[in-house]
Amino acid sequence: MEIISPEGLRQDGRTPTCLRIIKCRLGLYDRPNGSAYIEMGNTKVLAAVYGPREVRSKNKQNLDECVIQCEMSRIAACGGERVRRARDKRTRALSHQIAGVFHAAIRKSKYPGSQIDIYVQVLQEDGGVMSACVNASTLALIHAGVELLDYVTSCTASINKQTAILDATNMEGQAGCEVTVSLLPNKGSIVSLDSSHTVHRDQFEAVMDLATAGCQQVYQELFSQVEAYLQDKHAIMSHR
Amino acid sequence: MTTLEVWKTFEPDNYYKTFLDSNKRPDGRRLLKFRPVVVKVGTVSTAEGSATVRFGHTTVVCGVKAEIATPTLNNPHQGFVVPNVELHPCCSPNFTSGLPGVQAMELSQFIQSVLTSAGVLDLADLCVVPSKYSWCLYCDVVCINYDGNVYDAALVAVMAALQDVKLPKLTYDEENDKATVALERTLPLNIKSRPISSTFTLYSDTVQLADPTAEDESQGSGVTTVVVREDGSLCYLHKPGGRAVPTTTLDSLVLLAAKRVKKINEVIAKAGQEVD
Repeated sequence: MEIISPEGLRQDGRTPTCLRIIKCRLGLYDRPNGSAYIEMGNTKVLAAVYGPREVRSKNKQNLDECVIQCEMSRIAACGGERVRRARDKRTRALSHQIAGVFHAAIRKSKYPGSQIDIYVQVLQEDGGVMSACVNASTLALIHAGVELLDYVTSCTASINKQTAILDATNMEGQAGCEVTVSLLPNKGSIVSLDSSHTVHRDQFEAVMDLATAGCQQVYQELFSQVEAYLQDKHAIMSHR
Repeated sequence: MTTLEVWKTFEPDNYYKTFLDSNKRPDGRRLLKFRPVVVKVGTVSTAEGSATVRFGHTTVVCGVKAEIATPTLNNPHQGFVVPNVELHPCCSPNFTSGLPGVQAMELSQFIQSVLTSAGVLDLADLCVVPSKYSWCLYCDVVCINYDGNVYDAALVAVMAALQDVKLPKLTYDEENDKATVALERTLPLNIKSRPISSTFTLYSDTVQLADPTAEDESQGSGVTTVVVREDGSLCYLHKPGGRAVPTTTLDSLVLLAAKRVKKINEVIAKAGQEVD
């Protein structure tokens, strides 16, 4: 099957440099300190943040800065095959990576001796799961009011027959490589970078540039959503 | 902090009891009133059937995945239905990560018992080729937000998801001993009965609370779950210890549960029609 048609369009009608539609919501529930939901095309992710709260196990406590823990789980029906174990090695590795991303973004010294827990639940996956998780966690942390250096936005890119494509779906990602970039958009620095399968050295730069540009687009999207949320909230507050 | 919150923090029992004395609960409901139920079907498109159910703030997602399995030697004409409930620390700080806790296991067992005792599916329908191929339906329920009464929410989610299931057609070529599965999912399940559960928290000998929130559950001293089928027959009653209930009270709870069945089944049917 052709990934890119002769007219230059992809299966879902996007151009190679077009993101999928992003839908997100902040503040779904009262119980966690922060929560958010994001849909990037058919990838749907829910994130909840608890904390800053007391450190659960005392030997992990660090009196200079906070402990960040992330736990990601996938519901059994999220992909093509049923997931037998919600926390297999792959999801554990991914959650460790997400925690690592936010080590770089949270002002840890502001919360000495406490712990911030990020729980991510993948409801449906269709490429770019790690990106969706990072974006959802960012929104949830913002909703929780945790001090961040900057937003963290993430996006994937792939390559297909010399053409770099942005925000690859599962099928597009299987055909070529998948490069996931997490970025601090205002600083322009890359926090995490992950590539699967081989990419040719000559093409790598093109893929990276596209993914970075995608992160900036995601940032615009998230920023406008946060702004709308705050305006909404502010409107309610000012009536009181 | 408002004075009300201070009071709640320091005297939770007293705070709660004052509400009950005026026949109300902290969320404004009367004692035997149920929360509004929202059902949405087909929320996880990677599953064969799925549903998201909200009881007030309690939210659960059920996704049904179908796999082809070999029937057991004892029952070569039967397929399988395997319910599984997961309570992650994401939905409430009371749950820990790792192996499923007692509550999650109890819930899985509860759904399994209801499905078999109510005869929701005829397992023989799930068998395609006797002693060779049959469907195994994994009903995985995940709690997304915990605010009490996951029993009812999980059962409604499983029932709604099962009614949403469409299986692909499996054809078996006897000569070459080869089975092929069609790409499109077309065949709905034959649902024989539609049980709905109603959970009550026992607060005192005279006070019962329908559809408890997490706060109600922590204040109460026992639960009773009544499962009634759509024809009005009682198919399962679950009361895991706790406070004793007089039989007259139990009768009235069963009556209340029976009244609710039709209403919830209508909500599920309506959600199914919206998708079509």
